[in-house]
Amino acid sequence: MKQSPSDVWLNLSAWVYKSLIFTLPKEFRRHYTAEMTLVFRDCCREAYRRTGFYGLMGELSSSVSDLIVNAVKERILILISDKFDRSFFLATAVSAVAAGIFCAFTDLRSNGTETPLLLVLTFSFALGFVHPRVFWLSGSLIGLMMPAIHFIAFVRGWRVEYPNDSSTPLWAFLTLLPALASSIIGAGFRLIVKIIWGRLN
Amino acid sequence: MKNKITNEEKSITLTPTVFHILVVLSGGERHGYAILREVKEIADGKSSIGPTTLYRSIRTMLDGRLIEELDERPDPASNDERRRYYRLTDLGIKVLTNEVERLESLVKIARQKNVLIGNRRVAVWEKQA
Repeated sequence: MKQSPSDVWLNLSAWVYKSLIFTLPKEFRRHYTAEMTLVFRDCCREAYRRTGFYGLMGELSSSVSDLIVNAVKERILILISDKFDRSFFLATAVSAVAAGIFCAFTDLRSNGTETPLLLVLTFSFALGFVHPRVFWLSGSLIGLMMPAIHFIAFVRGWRVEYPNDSSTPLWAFLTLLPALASSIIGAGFRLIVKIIWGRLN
Repeated sequence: MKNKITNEEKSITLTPTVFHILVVLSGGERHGYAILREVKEIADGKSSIGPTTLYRSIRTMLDGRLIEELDERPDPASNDERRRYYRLTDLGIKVLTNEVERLESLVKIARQKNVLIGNRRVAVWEKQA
């Protein structure tokens, strides 16, 4: 059966919203994902009926911003709650900072970008694989160490193997992209391994 | 009869959203979308809540035993099976009543001081300046 344009937009909006629900903590998702999606669809249907496509987009944007703001609040609550395993979090953070510093110093001492990039990818992937729950933390910290160390090198005038001007630390922020991508892949790979392992046993 | 609130009950934070949901549920059991729609009507466009805020508030209220989930749907024939219905508990009614009384007494004081008259507010500011 052919879908009407309104159904297509409603389904697409619901898909976008449902995809973003993963930003909420697992416990919350387990209880409320089905109902939240249902309520969101009802809101979208009503908005489309009243004001058409623009109403639907308005509903989507307000619901998504509501979701993101609450996801951040929930994550912060978990971070400061007693349930959170602080030693686990700290171990990941320290490992990521150490790995990031190592990558940055390797970059300072080499002419090309291949070796440091390979190190960034390897460490981010490894930490994402080992601690998938906090892949975002390991990826961000490894990625941020590069501009931080380059900034210190620039300010303190360290001798490096390439021209180090004020724009270098800014360019180094680009390391965040491969670091985060690699840690996500690491976490995803862990998930796949877990699923396959579960099926084999 | 005045409702006495215990210390445990005092610890429940009544945010505007929680208060609005309590008011909506005072009219009987509702499912999530019905609550959201009525809260929007009550707020009269001055504030709007999304599905996530709604369900975070519902979770807080369930934890605080202000509301409870119904085991059976009031009208199973005409509703989606996935919908959950909520209603006020005795504690929820008590907390809502106390909050309304508190707000009522605040409004009474405000009326006595003519705060609700727009010109009066300007006059107070001018006097302060």
